[in-house]
Amino acid sequence: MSDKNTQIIKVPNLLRAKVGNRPGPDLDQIVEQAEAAIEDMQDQYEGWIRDYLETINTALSEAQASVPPNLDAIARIRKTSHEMKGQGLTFGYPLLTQVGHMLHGFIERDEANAARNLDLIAAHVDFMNLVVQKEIHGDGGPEEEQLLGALEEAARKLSKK
Amino acid sequence: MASISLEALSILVVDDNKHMHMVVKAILNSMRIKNIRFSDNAADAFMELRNWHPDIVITDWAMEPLDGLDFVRLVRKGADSPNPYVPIILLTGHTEMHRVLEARDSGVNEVLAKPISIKSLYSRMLSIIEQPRPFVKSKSYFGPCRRRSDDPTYKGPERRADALLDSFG
Repeated sequence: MSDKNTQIIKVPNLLRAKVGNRPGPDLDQIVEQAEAAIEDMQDQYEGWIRDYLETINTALSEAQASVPPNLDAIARIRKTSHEMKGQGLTFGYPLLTQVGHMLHGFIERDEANAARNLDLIAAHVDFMNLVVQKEIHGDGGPEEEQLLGALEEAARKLSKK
Repeated sequence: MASISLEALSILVVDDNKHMHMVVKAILNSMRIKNIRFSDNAADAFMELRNWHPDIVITDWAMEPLDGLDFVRLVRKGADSPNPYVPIILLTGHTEMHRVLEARDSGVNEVLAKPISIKSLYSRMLSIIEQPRPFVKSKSYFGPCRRRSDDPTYKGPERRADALLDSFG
């Protein structure tokens, strides 16, 4: 449907013609091969995650050392926690995805508020350090669940103020 | 959906995190796609689009100084855009409703939540090829039709963010 204000444009489907009808791997084969390739990258990921943690720990130290806290450092923590969120689960660290999501969300909701609550940021970072040091793959246990719950509750309360 | 070979496709991946380049490359390679280029910022990606003409663009949202949505708007609405119709898949860690709607309104074809699901990326690639949507040009929007099915009688509320992530993008 088009009217004088809205135009509908049918775009020729050149990709369908380009791909043709040659059979390709089925989804199970694709998943199996991709998972194997990602598994091969696991050792590299362990290095990446240590780099991310170093970035976050350094930025946290910078933020703690300045009054008022250095907002560039807070922004670095936000961005790096977002990267950890995006990759943790892929490499078998769902807890890093979860805590990365929580820390990123806490900072993004109100960066100035986050800067006033560096202790809570530090608690998230401690949790990240713990997961990596103990190499906690999977969802962890009751202790980790309890810690995440406490972080979530604290972030919720502090975000309201 | 039938298994067709995606080998002929060329893909531009835009992400400022080089580790994500490696992850996306591994997944695309498993689909037999080898013709892949990478950009780590929107400006370079725009140049790549001009010089190389990829079939599909996969871009991250969280980039600086221009983010993924700025890039999408440049591609869709820029006066000097080399291909306003190129299919774009947006990768994002932002899954809140207002974020997904913002992504949709920028003119992306598909939205894919991070961490990336291999199955979801594959299904979105197939969707672009098998079920392309017409483009809509209005005063306020230019991009793929934002409704999955072209139902002019639909007057219901906006779907949930999860549903949009699953079926819209």
